[in-house]
Amino acid sequence: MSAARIEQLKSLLSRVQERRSQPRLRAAVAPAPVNVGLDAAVGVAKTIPDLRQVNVSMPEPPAAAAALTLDEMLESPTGLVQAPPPAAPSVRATAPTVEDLAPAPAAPASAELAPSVAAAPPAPASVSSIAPSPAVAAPEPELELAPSVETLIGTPERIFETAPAVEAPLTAPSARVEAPLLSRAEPVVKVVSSPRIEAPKSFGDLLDASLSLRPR
Amino acid sequence: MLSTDTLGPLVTTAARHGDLTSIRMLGKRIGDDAARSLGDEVKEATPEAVVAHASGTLALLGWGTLSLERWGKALVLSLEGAPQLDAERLGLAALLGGMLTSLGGRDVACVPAQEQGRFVIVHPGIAETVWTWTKEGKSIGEVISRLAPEGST
Repeated sequence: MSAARIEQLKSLLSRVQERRSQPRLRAAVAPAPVNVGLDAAVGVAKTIPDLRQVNVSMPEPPAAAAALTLDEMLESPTGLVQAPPPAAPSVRATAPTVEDLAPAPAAPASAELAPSVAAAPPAPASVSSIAPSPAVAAPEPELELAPSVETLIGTPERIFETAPAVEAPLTAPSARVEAPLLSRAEPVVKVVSSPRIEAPKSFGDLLDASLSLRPR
Repeated sequence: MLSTDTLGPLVTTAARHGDLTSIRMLGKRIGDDAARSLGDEVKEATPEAVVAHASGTLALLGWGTLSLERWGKALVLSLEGAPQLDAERLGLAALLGGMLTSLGGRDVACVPAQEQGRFVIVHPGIAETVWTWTKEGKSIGEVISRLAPEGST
């Protein structure tokens, strides 16, 4: 430690000692003179106690005043602790941005607890800092799989065994040949046929096919 | 030729006694007339030509309008506007059977179907069976689904 440093410390120490040696405030309360009449004086004497008999004590100065550290004194040459700089103005000059509005704060319980306009919205907690809720952290129970189609209706072979092929009965004629009306000038033959009808056959072939049908 | 007013009671009486021979013979006469008007070999003619001539002949005699329907391999005749000869339409079935017998050159039976005005063309050997199915309420489709070409069963 250099000599200059030592001298500086000594001067600071002496100032501290001087400061501590200053006489403290003592409670010196003198009775106030009372210039009133006799009657009033009696009443006053009944109601006003003798102030000299009242114990008045001053509270001790806060311990923080004497607990200055060396570093604090070095930072302030006068030995006085400087007040912190005033806080920034609470009114913003610019309109809030979308980022300011994004994390919506929780609804205040009352109007008194509502944050001021200048109060910055709480910073969103990071994903890593959010502890998983018990509901999320808890493992989900395994879902039971729906029974498969084979379980419900059996294998395709079984279906084939139980469902014999049945030909759908005919509900409409596949072809229709109409004769013309006598009132018409020319005979008109209307043939209504489906696309699956084969090539036109003679009347004899159709008749033979129909007559060849027998009960199953 | 006899009018419907004259022929109707005769057919009704014949059907009640189970004898439709006369009606069938009348149908054969109508078929001969249709084949004669067709000129060519009837069995080689197209169905449209045969039906056109047969229907014309029937209409001249007041038996309504004839049409032919194909239900798969089966043939169904439809006669619209025909007089009501008997309740079960056996008289008209005999008439059409006789006509087709004449046109086709072989015995043909027509069985009244459940559908009004329709007759299923079958072999005379199975006409009674088909007629039983019809009386049980089977439709044309159900009747034909019970039939299969000879030799395939």
